[in-house]
Amino acid sequence: MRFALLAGTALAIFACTPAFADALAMPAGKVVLEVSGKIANTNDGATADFDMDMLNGLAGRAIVTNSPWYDGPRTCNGPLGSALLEAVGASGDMLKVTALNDYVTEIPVSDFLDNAAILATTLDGEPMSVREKGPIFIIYPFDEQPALNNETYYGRSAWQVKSIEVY
Amino acid sequence: MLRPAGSARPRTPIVLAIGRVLLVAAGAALLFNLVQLFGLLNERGRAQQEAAREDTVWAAYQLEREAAKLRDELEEEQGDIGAWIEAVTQHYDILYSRTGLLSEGQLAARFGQASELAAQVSLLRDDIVGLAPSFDAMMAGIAPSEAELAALDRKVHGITDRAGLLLIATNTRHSAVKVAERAEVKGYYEQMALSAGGLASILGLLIILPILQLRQIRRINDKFHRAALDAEAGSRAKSAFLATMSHEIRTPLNGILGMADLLADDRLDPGQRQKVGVIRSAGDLLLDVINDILDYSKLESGAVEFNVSSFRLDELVGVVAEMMRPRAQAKSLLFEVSCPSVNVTTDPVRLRQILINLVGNAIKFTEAGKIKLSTTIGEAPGGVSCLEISVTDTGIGMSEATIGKLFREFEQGDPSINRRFGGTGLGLAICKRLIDTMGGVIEVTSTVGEGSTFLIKLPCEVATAGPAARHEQPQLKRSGRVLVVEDNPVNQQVAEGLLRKLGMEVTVADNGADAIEMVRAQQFDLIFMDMQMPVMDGLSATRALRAEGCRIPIAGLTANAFESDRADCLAAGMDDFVSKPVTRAKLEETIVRLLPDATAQPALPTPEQVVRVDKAQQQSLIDELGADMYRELVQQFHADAIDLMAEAEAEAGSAAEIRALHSLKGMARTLGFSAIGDLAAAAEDTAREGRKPNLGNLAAAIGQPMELPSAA
Repeated sequence: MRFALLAGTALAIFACTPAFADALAMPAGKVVLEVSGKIANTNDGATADFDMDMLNGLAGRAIVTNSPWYDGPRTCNGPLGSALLEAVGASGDMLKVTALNDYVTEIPVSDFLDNAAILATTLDGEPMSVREKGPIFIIYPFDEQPALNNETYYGRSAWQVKSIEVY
Repeated sequence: MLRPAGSARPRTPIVLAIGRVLLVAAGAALLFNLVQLFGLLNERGRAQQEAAREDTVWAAYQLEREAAKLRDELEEEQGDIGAWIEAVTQHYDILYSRTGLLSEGQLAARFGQASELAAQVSLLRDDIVGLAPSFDAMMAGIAPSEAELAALDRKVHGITDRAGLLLIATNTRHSAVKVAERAEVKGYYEQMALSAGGLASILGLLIILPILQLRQIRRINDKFHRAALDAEAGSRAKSAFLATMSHEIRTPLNGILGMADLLADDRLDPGQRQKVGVIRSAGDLLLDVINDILDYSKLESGAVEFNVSSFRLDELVGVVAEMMRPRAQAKSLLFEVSCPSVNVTTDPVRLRQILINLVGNAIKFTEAGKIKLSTTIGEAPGGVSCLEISVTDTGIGMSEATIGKLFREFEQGDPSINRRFGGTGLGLAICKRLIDTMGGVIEVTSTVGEGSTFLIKLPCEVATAGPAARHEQPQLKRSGRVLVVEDNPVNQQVAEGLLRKLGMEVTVADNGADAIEMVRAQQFDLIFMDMQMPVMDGLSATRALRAEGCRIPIAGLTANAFESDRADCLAAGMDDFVSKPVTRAKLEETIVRLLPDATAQPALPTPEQVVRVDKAQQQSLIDELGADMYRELVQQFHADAIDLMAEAEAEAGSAAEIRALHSLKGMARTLGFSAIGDLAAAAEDTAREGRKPNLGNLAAAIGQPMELPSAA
């Protein structure tokens, strides 16, 4: 995990180095995630917009786990929450995550840093449509860390994520 | 007495042991149950399951909300048709995504058998998925017609209503499951409480059980203790009874044996002599029996005292041999004795008792052949010297079974033996007890019809000794004034008769008070004092006499033959103790011990030992006064001479010294003791000249035995 974090950090720095002056690359495809609030790197005013390619370009990992939403273990893949925060230069303690249906959940930044939660963009290798709780699903490694198996983390596992505010 | 405790004891521990095993088993079962319940309550899936169910209710709620949102969106004013379609289709997608959260399988897993719920979900999903072509078409850019939109709106209304119903149903079901589960958990907790309670009770019982056991042990202990006290009291009562019986039997026996002794000295024809002999030996036998019983009761009560001293073993064995030889000779048996010249350290009195018993048995049970008493020094385990004494006979022998019960109290080898040979059957039991107490062992080997060997091994200190001193047992003649204090007329006669035979002058007092009067009035050399008398008993009389300063030797006479009686006698101020029945031998022994002066006259003195005597003077005195009177005068002279010598020495250089020597000279010459008279005269002359006389020669002459004319 620590290795992944370091690798992610290194990757993010590498990825951002050429565009460091104007903070963040511009999204080429459809914007799937808007990050706002206490962030240093933006590409749309005070907001950092991400398309799917930008997200998948961040350091990520696969989490194979059981969860309350699927029968049996499923493989979720996507950027590490920590990699995303690194990319936007986040400096807050909390994240306000909003879903397509305006469902709002609050996640401490430490969850992304300590628990290696990811913003899953594929399920069993396939991108997730809105009908399949896509395009972004926050997943914790429940099987790796049994302590996460409770309502607090189930509640923080938001799907159909559309925006994150750092504060 | 011990039976109730003995029968109760084996049962109790089994009950307790079973109880403990059952308790432990029950405790283990309860603990297992508890652990299982704890596992059930703590199961990881439970939390997830609960969360999932809540999620499902949440999902149903969301579904209803999303359906309502879609409905509202559909009925929204269509400003920009493109934005409207995007908004409407996204809402539809969100609604669609929610259907996956409510699969029939999940519902079954989360809410148990809820077919109604599943059917509703199934219908609802079919309805929602069924709308997909319409929205797909809209996304593809085909705008719906007015009629199609109205139909869509109707369907979405239906979906919204159905979703509302599903929410209510799911929530109801969730509550029901929650209640059921709460009841289940409550049941678990109740079971856990019961198990914990059970465990606590078992723990309590396991603590109480040893306490109960301890109390029971204490009770049994108390019972045993009481039984032991009872037994002790019984034993004491028995000892007291035996002591009384022994006293009651000894008193008449005293008369029988004493009179038989006296009778034997009379002029008797052979037939009469033989009859007196039978009386005497029957009495001796009876005395042996009483002594056995008394010994045994003393051993049993632990009252036997052991006095260890160093003595010559060959002398002790010699005494036993001489004592037993007449009996062996009477049955024409050979009697062989062998013993090394050694000093051993053990209790001589007990050893003699054991040897007499074993040799006596050997003689008793042997009709022909020989008895062999053999003594050797061996080594006991641990390097200690060990005295090994074997007594072998060629008697009737014993079988294995007989040997087995040989040392038991009151049992003789064979019941028929008692009829044939008599005896109490206590002898060997006493021997065994004595030997055990002295730390030794006794073993027996025997063959029926061929004989037996008793082997004693007694650990003791052994030292080699020089040749045995020659013991002459000169026939003594005695003289002296003896006061016999005794209330029983028969015993008075016996004592008087025996003492007269021993050459004593006898005076009799009926009780202690008379005795004190007589002692004040007359001179005595020795007092025999009975214990139990009317008016004043022997112990009180003795104490009174000693308090008055009387120094006459006193020997107690009693039928109570216990060690404590002896101690009482000595404590009261007596010098010795004679147990009844009184025999000539016992009296003689006592006189020898207490009156050495009276016995200082061997019948056949060697010439050198005799002080020169003026025979003519002596004879004329005997003619005038009689032999007895003369003998008495000599005794008196002897005593006075010693006193005068003491006075002369004490008053050296004074007139008193001259006077004492003068008196001595006169007395000696009167009685015909010319040598003493001459020595005294010489000493007197020396003293008169103012010089110190040599009193040593004189004292030596006085100390010499004095020749007396025969009593003819």
